[in-house]
Amino acid sequence: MVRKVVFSVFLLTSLFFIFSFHQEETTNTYVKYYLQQINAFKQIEKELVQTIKDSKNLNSVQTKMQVQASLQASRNKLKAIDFWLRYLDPLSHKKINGPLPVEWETEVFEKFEKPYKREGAGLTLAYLYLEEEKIEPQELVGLIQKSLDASDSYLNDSITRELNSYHHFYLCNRLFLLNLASIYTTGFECPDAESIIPELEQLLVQTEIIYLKYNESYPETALNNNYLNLYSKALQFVKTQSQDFNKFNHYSFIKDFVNPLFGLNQEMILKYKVSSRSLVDYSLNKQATSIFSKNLYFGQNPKGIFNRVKDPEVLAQIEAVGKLLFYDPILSGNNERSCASCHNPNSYFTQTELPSSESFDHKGFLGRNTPTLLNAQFNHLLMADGSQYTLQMQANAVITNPVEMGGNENEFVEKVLSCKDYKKVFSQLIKQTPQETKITKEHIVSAITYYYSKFSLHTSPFDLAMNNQIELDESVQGGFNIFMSKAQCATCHFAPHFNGVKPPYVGSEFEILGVPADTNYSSISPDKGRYEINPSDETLHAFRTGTLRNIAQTKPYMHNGVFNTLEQVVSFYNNGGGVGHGLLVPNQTLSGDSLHLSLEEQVQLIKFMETLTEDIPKETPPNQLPVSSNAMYKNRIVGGIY
Amino acid sequence: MRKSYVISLLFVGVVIFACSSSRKNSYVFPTEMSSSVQASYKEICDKGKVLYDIHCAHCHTTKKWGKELIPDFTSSQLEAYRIRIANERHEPIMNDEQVPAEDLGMIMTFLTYKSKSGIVVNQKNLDNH
Repeated sequence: MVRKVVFSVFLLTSLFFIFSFHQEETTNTYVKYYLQQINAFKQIEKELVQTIKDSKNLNSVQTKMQVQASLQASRNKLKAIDFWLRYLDPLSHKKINGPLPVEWETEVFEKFEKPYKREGAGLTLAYLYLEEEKIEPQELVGLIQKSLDASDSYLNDSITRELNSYHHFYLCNRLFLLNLASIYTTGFECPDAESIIPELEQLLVQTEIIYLKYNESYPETALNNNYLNLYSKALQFVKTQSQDFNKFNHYSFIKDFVNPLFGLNQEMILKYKVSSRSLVDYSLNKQATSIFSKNLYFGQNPKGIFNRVKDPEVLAQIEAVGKLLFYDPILSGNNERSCASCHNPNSYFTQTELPSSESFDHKGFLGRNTPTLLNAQFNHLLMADGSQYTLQMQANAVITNPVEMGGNENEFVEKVLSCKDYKKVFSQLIKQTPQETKITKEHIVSAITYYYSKFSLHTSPFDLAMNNQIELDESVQGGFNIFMSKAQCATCHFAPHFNGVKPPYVGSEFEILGVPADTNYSSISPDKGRYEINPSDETLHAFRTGTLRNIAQTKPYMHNGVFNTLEQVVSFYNNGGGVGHGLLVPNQTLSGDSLHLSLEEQVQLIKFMETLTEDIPKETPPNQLPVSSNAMYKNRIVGGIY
Repeated sequence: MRKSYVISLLFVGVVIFACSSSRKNSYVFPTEMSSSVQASYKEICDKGKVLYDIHCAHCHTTKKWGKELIPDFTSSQLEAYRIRIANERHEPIMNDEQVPAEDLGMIMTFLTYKSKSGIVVNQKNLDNH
């Protein structure tokens, strides 16, 4: 009996040990390091809150400096875990280190949701708050407390269990590398220009530790030596560079290190069959081998309703009919204006003559400048005010706009189908869309968007240089370095698309620049912009950040086409936008101070922008348009008469 | 001989009936939904069914006595962004390029309002990585 008891006790204890041992095993070195780092970050933030609470007078210079140093220590610790935070929970990360006091988020994942407002919080804002004249301790503690609360979410099961497999690691790393090319060196989230490069160095050093811990725990899917060696070289490069981000060689850093590292990481993503569980990976292509490649970011769906078509012959058929429709004024109310009237394929798909195109009734002009259709697909939202979600909606909105093409949604399908040739093609194409029982406007606009989208797949000299296929002039390289640093362009025009879509490419950003109505700066442009779609204090006069690709060929500039040369545009920014020119723009998101760019720097900046001109092929308009059975539509002119 | 002829005729009849009834889609809309809204939802559901058959049926539909059985997904299983990532096999075939948001919306509408089949979706399958 006693033996039995002893035996069962022995059995139980050994079982207990086996299980506890088993638990030990599941928490590997990598996971342990993660937990330890998150907790250390929380500890530093707690101490920071305590420092503020303990200090008697926050407005004294000495205490301010003490709090500032303590804040910087928190930021440095943040850099050690940035690799994980940004990817594993993007929303909590913004609470820890969001750049703006109030932000309207447009990263509506499936596009059916309205933009939502997010109150700013976190360390960057706390740092900026310290510069205010009178500091309320409660306010400051509040900003940091929000960050501290958000840090807790990184200890949740739903996040920590991701760490038990290797998949998340390569996706964290992909986002990290994309951000190295887009925001980490530009001061996007860094309140103090002097700490940009020191923080970058800290980020790189700390991330290398994460790499080594990972490789120890996941030897079968480890980062290979090619990657680790190149990474060490990148770190060496940063260490030998100037601590001043204006003198930092952004060009070489991205071209020689970040982009090749990205390519190696993509190779490993494919090799290890990495799969995603994140909400924000849908926009990125695993097959892309370079950041400066047009297949990196899916962006919009140019095929529209013909989404599933893969057969090259059918695609060629869609493209051909799309081209005819693009040049066909039958879509417009008076059969005289076509897409090509304003988006001329031989003028980089825009018109460069006037600030804005003539209105439909010939009596005036449109309120906004015609944007190029080139690279329109690499956007989350479309139009200067972000009113449209898809390319097809955008096309439909222009066709049916009474001052643009004056068409009618119910009529234009019928008019198109009155042409035998169109009807024949679409009757064949409808087989590709089994969910549709008849030919709709979706078929028509999808053919148009598919036609012009192929022109967005071309590359610029800058892309070629970044992919080591050509060398750029030193002054151009200098221009890019100014773009990324002193001129602050890159904090809104993010590489590689140089528009308002930053990694992981799931939202469009809007800015308030205070663009004037005329070049005398007599008043701000009356256009309310984003406010018309989503009215709020922060959206009045806000416009979606457009692409800088082909910018040298797509004048005039700004939403109203007020500037005719790039020199004027650079001077506008150099002198602090609307505020800097004496206009009252209380919500301007651009600093009203001068950038202090020298004339030579401005020239270099423009030289860089000129290398963003893509090799867009010349297009030959169709010789003739399909004949309609209706006499009213018989004498249409290719491209219209506007 | 004659008997077997009658039986096979009957059988063919049953098969035709089964096919035609399965082809006709039936939906359950909330009673408070007005008839005009119901009509437009029905149109979306019909399109959603076609897209479901293209993208989802291969794995999710089971066949019993020639009848299609489409599982009853719960509303949380139908969350748009979960559909894309909940299942490892979805990632390469359900991305934005293959099934754009608009198509996904129609599929979800169909799955929300289709009449119940009584087939429950295994949660384990959904959470598997």
